[in-house]
Amino acid sequence: MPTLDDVRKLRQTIKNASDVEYMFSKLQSAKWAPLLAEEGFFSSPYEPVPEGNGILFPAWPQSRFLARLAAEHQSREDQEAITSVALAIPKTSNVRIHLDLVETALGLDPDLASRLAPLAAEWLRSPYLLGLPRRAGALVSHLAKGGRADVALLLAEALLAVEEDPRSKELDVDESGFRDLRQPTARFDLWEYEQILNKNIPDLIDAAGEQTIGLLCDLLDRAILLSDRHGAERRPEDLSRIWRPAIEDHQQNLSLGVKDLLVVAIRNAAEQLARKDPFSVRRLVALLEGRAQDWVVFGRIALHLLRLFPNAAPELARERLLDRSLFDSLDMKHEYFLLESDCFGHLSGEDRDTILRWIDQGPRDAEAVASTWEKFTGQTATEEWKNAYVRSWKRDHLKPLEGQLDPAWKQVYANLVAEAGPAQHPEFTSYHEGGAWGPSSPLSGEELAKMSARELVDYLASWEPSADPFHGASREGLGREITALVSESPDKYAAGAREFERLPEPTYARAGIQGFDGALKSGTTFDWRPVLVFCTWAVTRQRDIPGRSDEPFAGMDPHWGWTRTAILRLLINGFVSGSNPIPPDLREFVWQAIEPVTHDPDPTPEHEQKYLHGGVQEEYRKWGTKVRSPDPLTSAINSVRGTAMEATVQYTLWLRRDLQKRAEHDDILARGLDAMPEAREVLEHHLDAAEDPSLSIRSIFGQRLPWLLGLDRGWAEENRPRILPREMPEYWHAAWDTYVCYCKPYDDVLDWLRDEYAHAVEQIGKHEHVWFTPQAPDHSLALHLATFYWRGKLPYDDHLFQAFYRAADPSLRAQVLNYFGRSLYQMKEPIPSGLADRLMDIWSNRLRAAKREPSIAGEELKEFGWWFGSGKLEDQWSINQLLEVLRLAKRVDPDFMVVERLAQVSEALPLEAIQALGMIVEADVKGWNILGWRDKAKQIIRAALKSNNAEARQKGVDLVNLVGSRGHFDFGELLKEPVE
Amino acid sequence: MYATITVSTVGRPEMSLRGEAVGGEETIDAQAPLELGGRQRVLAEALSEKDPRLAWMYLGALTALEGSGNPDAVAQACHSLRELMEKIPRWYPDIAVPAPEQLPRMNDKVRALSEKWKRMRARTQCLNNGTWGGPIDGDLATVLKVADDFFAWLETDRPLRRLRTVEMFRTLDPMQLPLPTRIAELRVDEWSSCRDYLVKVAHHDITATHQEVNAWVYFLEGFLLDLIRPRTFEKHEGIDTIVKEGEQNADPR
Repeated sequence: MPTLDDVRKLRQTIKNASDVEYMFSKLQSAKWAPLLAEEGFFSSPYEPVPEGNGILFPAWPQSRFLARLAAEHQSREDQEAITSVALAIPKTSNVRIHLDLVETALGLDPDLASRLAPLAAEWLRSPYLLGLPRRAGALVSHLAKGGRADVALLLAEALLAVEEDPRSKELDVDESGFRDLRQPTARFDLWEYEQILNKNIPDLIDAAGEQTIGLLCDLLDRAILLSDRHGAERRPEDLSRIWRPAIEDHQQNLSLGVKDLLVVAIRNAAEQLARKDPFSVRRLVALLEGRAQDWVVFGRIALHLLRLFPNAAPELARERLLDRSLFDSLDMKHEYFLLESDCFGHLSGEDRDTILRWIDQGPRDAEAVASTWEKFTGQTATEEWKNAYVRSWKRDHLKPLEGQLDPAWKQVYANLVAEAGPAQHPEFTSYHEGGAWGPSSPLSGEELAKMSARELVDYLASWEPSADPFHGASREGLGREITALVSESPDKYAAGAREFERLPEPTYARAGIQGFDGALKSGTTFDWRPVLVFCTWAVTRQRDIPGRSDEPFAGMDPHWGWTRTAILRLLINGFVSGSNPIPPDLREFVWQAIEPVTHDPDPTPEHEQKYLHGGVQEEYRKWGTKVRSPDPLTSAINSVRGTAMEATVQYTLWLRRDLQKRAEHDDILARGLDAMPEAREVLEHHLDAAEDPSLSIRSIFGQRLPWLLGLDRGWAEENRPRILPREMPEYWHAAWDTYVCYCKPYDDVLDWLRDEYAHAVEQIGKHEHVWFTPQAPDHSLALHLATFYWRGKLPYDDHLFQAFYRAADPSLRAQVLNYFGRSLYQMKEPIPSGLADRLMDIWSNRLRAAKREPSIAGEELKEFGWWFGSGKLEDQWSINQLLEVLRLAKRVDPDFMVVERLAQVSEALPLEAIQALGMIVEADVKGWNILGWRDKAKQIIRAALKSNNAEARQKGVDLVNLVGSRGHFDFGELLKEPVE
Repeated sequence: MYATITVSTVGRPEMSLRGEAVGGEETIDAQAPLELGGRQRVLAEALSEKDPRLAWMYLGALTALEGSGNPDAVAQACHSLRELMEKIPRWYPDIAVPAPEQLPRMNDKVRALSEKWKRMRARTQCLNNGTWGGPIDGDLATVLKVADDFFAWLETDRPLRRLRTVEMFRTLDPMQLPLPTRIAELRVDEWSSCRDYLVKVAHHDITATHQEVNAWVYFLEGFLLDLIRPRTFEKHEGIDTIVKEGEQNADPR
C-alpha cells in the first residue's frame, strides 16, 4: 500500500512537468489518488494558454490518471476515492480536463458518476468544448441506463440547451420587419447535436419517457421563441408549415437548424414510447396538444402520432377528423390530409358524410382568398376566377379520399380533375420543385447532320425560338449542335461557309467558328480559305443589333462581339497549329479578319473605370468590404479588342516564322516590322494613350515584351518609353507588372530593360492597385533577379542586385534564397562547379549581411533548409552553414527536409548532425514538430550515441534527455540500446 | 585540464567549448586556469547558448572560488551567482511578471522616504523642541501617506517576487508547464534560500567558508540543470523505484 511517505519522496524527486507526467503514467493503484491529493498534486490544474490568435488546452496528467483509474478499478472503495479526488479539483476552464473528468465519470458507477454530472453541465457552458458534448451525451446514456435518469435529465437539459442567434444584437439594429427572423442554435455543432439526439436521447426516453419528451418540448418551445424577434407575440403561429412542411421524413423538409432536429427528436421519442406502450398514445397526444396552444407544431406531431397508431386511440383520430377548425387549418393541412387519407375509411357513414358535406359546401375563405389575390396582382378576381378556385379547392380536398369514395363522389372528383386539371401536391400548402436546365435544340444533332449547309441555313433562317429560353429550345441550343457538327465535319461546312452569310445571326456564326476551332484542336483538317472569307464578312457586321437584349442568358448572342472573339481565337490557334496551320498566302484575308476588330469598343472606358480604376472598390466600400479586380491582362484576354491585339502580335510572329523559312530571310528578318507595316501601324496606334487609353490593352504589350524585342529590336528600343511610360505610372505598371509576372526571365531582355528593372526595384512595396495580380510583381521581380544570378548573368555586387537587397524586406529577400534552395532541390544532375561557387558566394554574402541585422535575419536565413535538404552542396560546408543559421535564426524551413538530410549524413558527421538536431529541437518548444520526424531524429541520435566522438555521444545523451523532458518518453529506449 | 577563456563580443565564451572564432574577438588569458567538472561544463554551455553573459557570471564565480590570494573571493563569487540568479529571467521574454530591475529597489524606496521625512521635520508644526504634538498638519500628513504606501509596497513586494520565481520556473520548464503548487512552493523555497544565502555572503553580512559556498554552488548547478538540461531518464529511474515500492503492497486490481 503506498504511503504518504512515498508521495513525499516523489515530491522531492520531481523537478519539472515531464516528471509529473511520467510519474502519473506509472502509477497503477487507486490508493495513490487520495495520498497525492493530500500532498497537493491535484490542486493546480493547467489553465488554457493563449497562443497567437488561438488558445491551447494542455493535457493534465492528473485528470488523465483519474480517467484511467476509474476505468480500471471497480471496487466501491476505490471508486469513491477517485470520485472524491475528482470533485475536489479546483475549477478550471481547461476543456481537456473537463473531458478527462467526464471520461472518469463514465468509468464510475452511475451513482458516483451522478455526483460529477452537475459539474459536466456547468462545463458545457464553456465557449470551448472540443469533444465534450459527445462524451457528455455518453454520460447521459450511462446515467439513464444506470438508474439515475433524474441526473441524466438535468445533464441533457444543459447539453441540448438552445442559444439565441449569435447575430441577434447585430440584427436588432435594423428595426424593419425584414430582420425579424433569427436562427437559434446549439452550444456546439449541429451535426454533433443530431448525433446525441439519435444515439443518447433514446436511452433517456427508455428511462424517463414522458419527462424526456417534456424536456424536448421545452427546448423546441425556446427554439421557436428565439426564431423571431417578436417570438412571444407570434404564439402559436410558428410557420412550421414552411420550415418543416412534413412531420414525417420527406424531401420537402429543408432539414435546417436546431428546430428541425428537435421536431424529429420529439416525433421519434413519441413513436418510441407508443411502440413500447400503445396505451401511452392518449397521454402523449394530450401532452402534445397541451403544448399546441404554445406552438402549432406540437399539434401537428400529435396528429402524426394518431395517424401512425390509429388503433391506439381511434376515437381521438375520429374527433380530430371531425374538427372543422383542423379541416380548414392551413397550418395543420399536411398532417390532417395524411390522417384523413389513412382513416377516412374507418369512419362511420354519418361521419364521412359530414366531411363530404364540408367539401360540397366549398371553401369558407373564398372571398378572403380572392381579396388577397386582387391585392397582390392588382387584378380583379372575376366570378370565373372564383369558380376556378372553388373547383380546385374541392378537388384538393377530395384527393386524400380518392380511393374511399362512393361512385357518385368518384364522378364528382373525376369531373373536377377534368375541369381543373389533376391536383398538384394538395397535401402541402406550398411545394418546392427544382432541376437543372440548359439551352436545348429543336432538332437533334443527327437530324441536323442530314442537312446540307444550304438546307441547314434555310432551316436556321426559318426557325423561331421558344418564348421561354430557360425551358424551351433556343438559338443557343441550336448553336451548340452546330458547333458539334462543324467540329466533326469541318470540310463539309467550310465548303458551305459562305451560305451562313445569308444569316444575320451572330449566335450561329459564332457556333460555326467555334466548330472550326474544335476541329483544329482535334487535328481535323479543313480548307482555310472559305472559312477566312466568312470571317472577313463576319467581322464587318454592325456590332450591335438594334432591339436585342444585352441579357447574356436570353438564349442568343447579344451582339457580334462574341463572334469576333471566336474568330480571333481561331486565328491565334491557326497560326501555331501543327496539323492545319493557316497558309501564309492567306495573309491578306487573315489581316482583314483582325484589323477591324482592333477598333472594337470592348473593353470600354466604363468597364475599365469600374474594374481597373476603382469603381467596384467604391461600390463595395459602402458595405465595408475590400475587393480587388482581376488584373489588366485578365481583363484584356477576356475582351474583344484585347484579343485582337494579342492576335496582332501573334500575326507578326506567324509571318516571321514564315519569313525565316524563305531563302532571303536574313534581309527580310532584318527589316523586322517594316516587313509587316500593317501590324506596326496598329501596334503604334494602340500605344498612343490618347487613341487607346485602355490599361488592359497596355498589358498585352507588357506580356509580349520579349517577343517584340525578338521581332524588331530597333522598334522595341524606340518604343520602349511608350510601352513603359514612366510619366504615366498606371500604364507603366499595367505593362511592367504583366511582363514580370507572366514572362520568364530572358537574358537579352535584361540587357534591354536593365533601366526598367532598376525602376521596378525602386517600386518595391509601392504596387498599390485596385487589381489583383495572381503572382505579386515584387515576388516575380525577386525570382527574375534570382534567375539571372543563377545563370551567372547578374553578379551579386551588381548595383541592380544591391539595390534590390536594400529595398526588399526580409520576406522578399527570403524569396531569392528560397528560389535557389528549391532549384537545387529539384536538380536531377550534379551541380556544375561554377554554379556551386556562385551559390556559396551569395550565401556567404547574405550570411554576413544577416549578422549585421540579427533581429530580422531569421526570416531570410531560414530558407537554407531547402539548400541543405537538397544535398547538392558539399556536406561539411552545408552543415556548417546550417549550424550558423540555427544559431542566428533559431529555425530553418522546412524542418522535416533538414532532419531527413541530417539523418543521411549523421554517420559521417555525427557531432554536427546532433548539434543541429539539438538546436532544432530546442526551438520547437511546444514539441509538436518532432512528431513529424521522430524516426529520423532517432536515427541521428543513434548515430551520435554509437559514434567514436565523445562529444557527439554526450550531445546525444543530452538530447535524449531533453526530448524526454518534453514528454517523448519513448526516446529513452535509445539510451538502452547496446553500443557496438 | 586547464583551459584558456576566450571572451567573444559576438559569439559564445570559448572555454573547452567548441565554436568558431568570430570577428571582433578579444582573447584574454585567465589569471587562474580553471578546471571544470562534467556538469559544470554542461551548465556553462547551456547558459552560454542562452546568452554568453550568463555563462560569464557563472564562470566568474567559479574562477573566483578557484583563485588563491584573493581575500574577498567568496563574497565576490556569491555576488556573481546572485547576479546570475537575478538575470536569468531577462533572457526569457515570456516571463510575464516584472523582472527585478523593473521593480523599485528597497534602498531607493527607503531613501525617498528618508528625504521626505527630513523635509517634513524641518517644516512641520507638530515638532517643537524635539517633542511631537498637536493636530496633524499638511507636512506630516504628506509623509504619513508616503509611509503608508511604503509599507503597503513592502507587503506586496515579496509575494510578487515569489510569483515571479514560479513563473520563471514555468518558463524554464522544458514543457513550459507549471508544477503542482506544493512542489512549486518547495522549489521557490529552495531557490529563495540559496539566493538569500548568497546575498548575505556577498554583502558580508555573514562569513562563509569555501566549503559552504561550494555546497550552495553545487545545489544551484543541480537546480538549473534540472530545468535547462534535465537528466530525464535518470530521474525516471528514481521515480520508478519509489512507485514500485509504493505499489508493492497496493491492493490487486
